[in-house]
Amino acid sequence: MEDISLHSKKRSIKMFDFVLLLIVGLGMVFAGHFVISRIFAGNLDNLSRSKSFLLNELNLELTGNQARDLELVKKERESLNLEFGKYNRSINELISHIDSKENDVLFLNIVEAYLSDTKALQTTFNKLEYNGDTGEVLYYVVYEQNKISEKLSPLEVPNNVVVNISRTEFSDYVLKLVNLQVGE
Amino acid sequence: MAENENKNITLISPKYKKRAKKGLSRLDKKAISAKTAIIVLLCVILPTFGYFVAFYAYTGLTSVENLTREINELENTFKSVQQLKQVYNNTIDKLVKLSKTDEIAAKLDLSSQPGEYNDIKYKAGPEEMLPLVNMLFTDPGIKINSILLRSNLGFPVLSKTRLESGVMLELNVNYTISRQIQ
Repeated sequence: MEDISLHSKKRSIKMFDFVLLLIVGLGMVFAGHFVISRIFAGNLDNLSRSKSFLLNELNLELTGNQARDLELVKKERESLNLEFGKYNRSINELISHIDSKENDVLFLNIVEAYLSDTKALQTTFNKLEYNGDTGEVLYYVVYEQNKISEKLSPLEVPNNVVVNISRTEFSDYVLKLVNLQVGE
Repeated sequence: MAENENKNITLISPKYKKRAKKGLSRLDKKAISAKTAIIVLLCVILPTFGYFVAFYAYTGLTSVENLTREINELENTFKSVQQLKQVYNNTIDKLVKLSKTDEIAAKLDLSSQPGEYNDIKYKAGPEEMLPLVNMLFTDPGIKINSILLRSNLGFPVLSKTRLESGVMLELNVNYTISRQIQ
């Protein structure tokens, strides 16, 4: 009897079955692609919903094209950073303006404190000069002979104030010429 | 003769009758080896799967992560800008309320528009001058560049009264009206 090897037979499949398999395989791949794209779209919708306040405030709308959306968001952030820098600069300018104003007010307070010596009979202002950093005031203080105050008001002289006093005595009055220098 | 032969054909099963009648298509007639078919299937489906599923999922996931991160950073930046803007606007509002630039400008007969005003001269009695000088020093909208205030009275009148009504004060001032506090 002749031996027949069944294994030697070449296995083949019909072209129709092959094409069917190919279509099914590709169909599954595209179905997977579709499912993934739906998942991403869902994520994007969730993101849009959770950040709806921010997006509305900035008048932004996510298109669903992630690359384009990313570019859009980056551009918006850059413009916000520029705005932040602008406000930062404005605040720094305001701080330096207020600092200089603080100098002005401090000078005025010192001058007012010195000029308002209640024990004096008369305080006559003569000259005030101020250039934003330093200032000088020249004024006369008149006391009655027996009511003279040795101390100038305010009692505590600030560090940046230099006071020069020249005193002239009259029969009934004592006249003090005060030169007040404020600032370095 | 031929008709008689056809009549004598006996089918193995009646359900193949229709199939026998049906003509074979070109795809039914052809066949390829199983090995080739598997290789072709793998060569087509694997790269397609790699590109349309694996690569797409990877790039999509990366993009979603990047987008989420960027939007969170955008939100933080937006909040920072809003806070800074609010602080700045509140401060400016308070300073504008404190500012009396219009009143000062009206007294000096000048414009209250922002800018530098140099060599401004004004002469008045102490009752009118001292409040004006006080306003110049305390107004948040005005920066004094220099100020010189002189009295025409060189020496005090030694009497028990206060200054005489004839005393005049001369003001010479250079100042800048701030653009911000308007």
